[in-house]
Amino acid sequence: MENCQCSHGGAALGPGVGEAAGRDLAQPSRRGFFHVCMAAMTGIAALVVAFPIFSFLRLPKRIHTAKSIEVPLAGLSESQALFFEREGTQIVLIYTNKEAKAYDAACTHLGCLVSWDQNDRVFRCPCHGAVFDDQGAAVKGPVNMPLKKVKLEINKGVLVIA
Amino acid sequence: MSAIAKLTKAVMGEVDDRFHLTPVIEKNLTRKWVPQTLSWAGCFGGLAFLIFLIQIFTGILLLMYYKSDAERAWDSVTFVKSNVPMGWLIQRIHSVGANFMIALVFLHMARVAYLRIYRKPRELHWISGAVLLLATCMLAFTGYLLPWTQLSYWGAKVGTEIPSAVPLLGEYIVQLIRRGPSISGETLGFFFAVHIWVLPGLTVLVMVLHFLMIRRTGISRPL
Ligand code: HEM
Ligand code: FES
Repeated sequence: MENCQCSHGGAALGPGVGEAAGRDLAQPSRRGFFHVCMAAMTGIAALVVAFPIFSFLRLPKRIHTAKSIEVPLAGLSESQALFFEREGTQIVLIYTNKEAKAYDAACTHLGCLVSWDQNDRVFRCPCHGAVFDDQGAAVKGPVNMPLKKVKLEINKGVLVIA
Repeated sequence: MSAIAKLTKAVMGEVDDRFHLTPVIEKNLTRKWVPQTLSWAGCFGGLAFLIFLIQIFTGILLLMYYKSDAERAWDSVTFVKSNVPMGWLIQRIHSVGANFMIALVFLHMARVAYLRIYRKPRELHWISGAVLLLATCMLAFTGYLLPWTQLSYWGAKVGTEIPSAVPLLGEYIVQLIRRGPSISGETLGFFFAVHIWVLPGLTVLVMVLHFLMIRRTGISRPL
């Protein structure tokens, strides 16, 4: 009895329990068997509860509607940058020297979103002052990796970012 | 003795040396005797409490995604149901649990009424229990608006109409709980705050009183 750690601890059992417990010491197999069963069932129950909870805390699948981005060439202008979202990343599209270029707008330093400064024709990062030119190369600030290029296709006067 | 039992004993030994906890736990939990004549119907109150704990737990999980904004509420619940792993299960447990909780509180009350346990010295047990029933119903009612579906909308519309039967003040009370003339985003925000903070807080408080009273008088012994 003394060694029994279980919460049913004999309290729920009627008279005659003492004798049974006495026998248990000499012949522990029966009570031991029930303990193993209880432990196994408790374990299974714990898993059944824990599985959905831990699953819930995993990352959810996101729905992405716009897979490819299409912009008519006529809609591009030298004075303006266009921002798009594609599968959770921000893409910036610029048009300089009669050429369209697209980059992942996340700064290659620590990932803030760059903005396009049309006067100086550079990308500026608001976080720690990185500057990138229109080719994406780093020209100033705490970073020397260029902005990540995004592939463009031109199809019958329509610019496509696949 | 299993390894876990040994470990428990070692840790508890150290704790007991300082706080003498084991006698307290035994007196109140593991060696707490209940009358042998108690039937399984005596479990309803405890089961209602268990479901309340499940509601709190699943509610906190749902809160990680829920947006209490008329524009996004429905989308956020749909997102949980269709995109979050096991989200459908957690959401379903929370909404089905609400129904079970009300049913169990009713069954618990029915037993107390049938066996006339509410008589002296347990009048306040009954009154606090009635408050808990009301709070449970209000939790279910305010929660039902949150997914912002057609059913939610019309449910809240009909439900908030009820106080209009009050003489003179009726219309005013209706507008007060709708936070305006009709069910709108303001209603959603109000119901959300009440569902998440006001009612759970009130319920916990009254439950603590309810349980303390039961400990003080002891549970009634059926003949
Ligand atoms: C105390 C902690 C609780 C929290 C934090 C909580 C939180 C929430 C949240 C965020 C929602 C909206 C998300 C969804 O519908 O999927 C919700 C819905 C709901 N809640 Fe709670 N809740 C709590 C307790 C309760 C209790 C005690 C009840 C009822 C007895 C209840 C009944 C409901 C109902 C009926 C819904 C609508 C479910 C649906 O149709 O999807 N909640 N709750
Ligand atoms: S993140 Fe852009 S400069 Fe640091």
